[in-house]
Amino acid sequence: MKKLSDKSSVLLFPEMEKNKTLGVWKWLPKEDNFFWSENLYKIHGTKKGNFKGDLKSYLDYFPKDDREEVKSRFLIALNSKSSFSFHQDIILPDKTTKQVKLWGAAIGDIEGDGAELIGSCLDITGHYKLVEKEIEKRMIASEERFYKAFHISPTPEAIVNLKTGNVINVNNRFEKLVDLDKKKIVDQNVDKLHFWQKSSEKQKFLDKLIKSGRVEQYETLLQTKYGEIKNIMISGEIIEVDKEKAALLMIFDVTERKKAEKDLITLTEDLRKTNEDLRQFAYITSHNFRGPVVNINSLLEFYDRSKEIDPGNKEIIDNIEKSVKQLQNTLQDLIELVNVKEGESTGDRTVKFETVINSVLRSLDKTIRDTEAKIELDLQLNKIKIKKPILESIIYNLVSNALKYFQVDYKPVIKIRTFTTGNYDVLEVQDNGIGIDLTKYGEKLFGLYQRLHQTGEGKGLGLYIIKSQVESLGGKIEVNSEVGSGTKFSVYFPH
Amino acid sequence: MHSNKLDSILLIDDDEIANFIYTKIIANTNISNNVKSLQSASEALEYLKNCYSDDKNPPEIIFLDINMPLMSGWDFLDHYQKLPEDIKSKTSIFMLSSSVYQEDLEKANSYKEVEDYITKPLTQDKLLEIKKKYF
Repeated sequence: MKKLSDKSSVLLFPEMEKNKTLGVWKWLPKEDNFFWSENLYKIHGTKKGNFKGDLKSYLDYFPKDDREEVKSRFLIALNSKSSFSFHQDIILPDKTTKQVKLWGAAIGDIEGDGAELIGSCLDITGHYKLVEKEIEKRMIASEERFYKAFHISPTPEAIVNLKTGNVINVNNRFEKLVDLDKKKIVDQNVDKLHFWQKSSEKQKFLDKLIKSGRVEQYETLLQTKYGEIKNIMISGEIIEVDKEKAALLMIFDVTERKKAEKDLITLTEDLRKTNEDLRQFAYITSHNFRGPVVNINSLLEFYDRSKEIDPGNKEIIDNIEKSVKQLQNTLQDLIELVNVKEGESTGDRTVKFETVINSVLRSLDKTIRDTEAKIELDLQLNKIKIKKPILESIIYNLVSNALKYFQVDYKPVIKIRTFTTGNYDVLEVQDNGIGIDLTKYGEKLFGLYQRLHQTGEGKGLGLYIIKSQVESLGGKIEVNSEVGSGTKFSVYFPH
Repeated sequence: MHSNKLDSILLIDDDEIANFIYTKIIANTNISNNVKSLQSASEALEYLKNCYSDDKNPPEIIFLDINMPLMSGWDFLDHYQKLPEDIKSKTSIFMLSSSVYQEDLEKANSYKEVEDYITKPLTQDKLLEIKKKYF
């Protein structure tokens, strides 16, 4: 008991007791008795008398699970004459928890079995709290900075809880992108908002994100409140919000860019086609001019001016006449093309089919009489809104084609029919002529200067003109034909 | 130099006036007694095949137009390549076209069956030149 009052070893450091967070102790293992300094009682939230002073009573201040370990640390230090130092939670009688740093070392009869343990206990609870507070303060500041950046970002952004699929937050730009108020987005489930046009795409993106923690520039489609589809590139990164995993998503609306790209491709293709047509046109036109001119030149060389009534001369003059006629035809083609182009610039008018057909038939009157052709009209549709020169050109070309390619054994019968079907006004011109082998020449049929018949005066221009006219109106032209039984052209004009 | 005449010449051109002119020029040049003209390439192919089956000599020169309906000069050449060597070895093909386009000239050069490309008109001078150079 004498040793109990022996405060010398601890009161050697009276200065230490000025620091209220540091207490000192001494343990006499033989008597199983602890000496605690004043501060130590305070740290443990108790008073002298309430602490029995034995090891078991001391261990009661530690959490249950830690007691065995603390005990063994004490005993190991004692038995092996060593020291210890560790952080430890203690539980006060009023159940509050504190963090302490325990230090202890064996002293006294180190050689024999009279050893004692002395040590200190530093209350570091406050210190911990301070550090935690500082960390928390910094976290809040950092979070504030993040949210400021999030909201001010010119890129639409959203944060989604990965576990629940609920939207945690969205920025201004995101609201605008999907055309929906923030209040109607936040805390809602992503699946119920239907932003992803395809849920399979969402899953693909999520799988990628979870696998690598980050996805960059994923191309997909987004649906807005009104069902408008937008081309987007979406980037995502996994972050932590309130200790739960969330996806930070950034969205780039590339709809305009996509559209511009597509328009450019279409435009380029159109230009390429027009260019190819022009090249082909120049090629054939120059050929069609040069051919007869070269012939006329050669023929003139044959012409014998000294013998005007020579029968050979007459044949030459006949051929010169034919060549001149060819030149006139080519010239006529050019004039027709120019007229058609001019016709395109005039406005739509309501035109009566009958009027146009009759005027075309009048201009073909001589051919109709020569071939003894029979024309049958079946006009279920009377009027159409169209540029008149275009309709004239289409009917003229189809009817004159039908008159050109008749079968020698039959008188030509040409049926002209108009009607409405679906979204189209239809004009049909059917003949009982020689027909076209479509499997062989179907592709060439509407080409520029494609002549598919060996005989006849075809220049290979008419169908090309019709096709480009009809297509410029947004319509289409179809052909049905069988060699030996006739051809039917159907022209579809959109309403 | 002995003036051995060519056995026969074939003109393939859909333009009957051109055929009239070049038949006359060949006759005036007096390099062959036998000039035949056909207005379609498919007829010409038939004619060549018949020469082979009838054991007749094929034409020594073919003047071939390019722009013809249904079967162009190029189409004709593609079919001609498949004919028996017997015919091809005895025949020389010259393109005769009013086209002055470089593309046509290059395309003609790509066929080993084509000896030369002649831009219309074919004149007596050119004919004599051909005779001298190739026969």
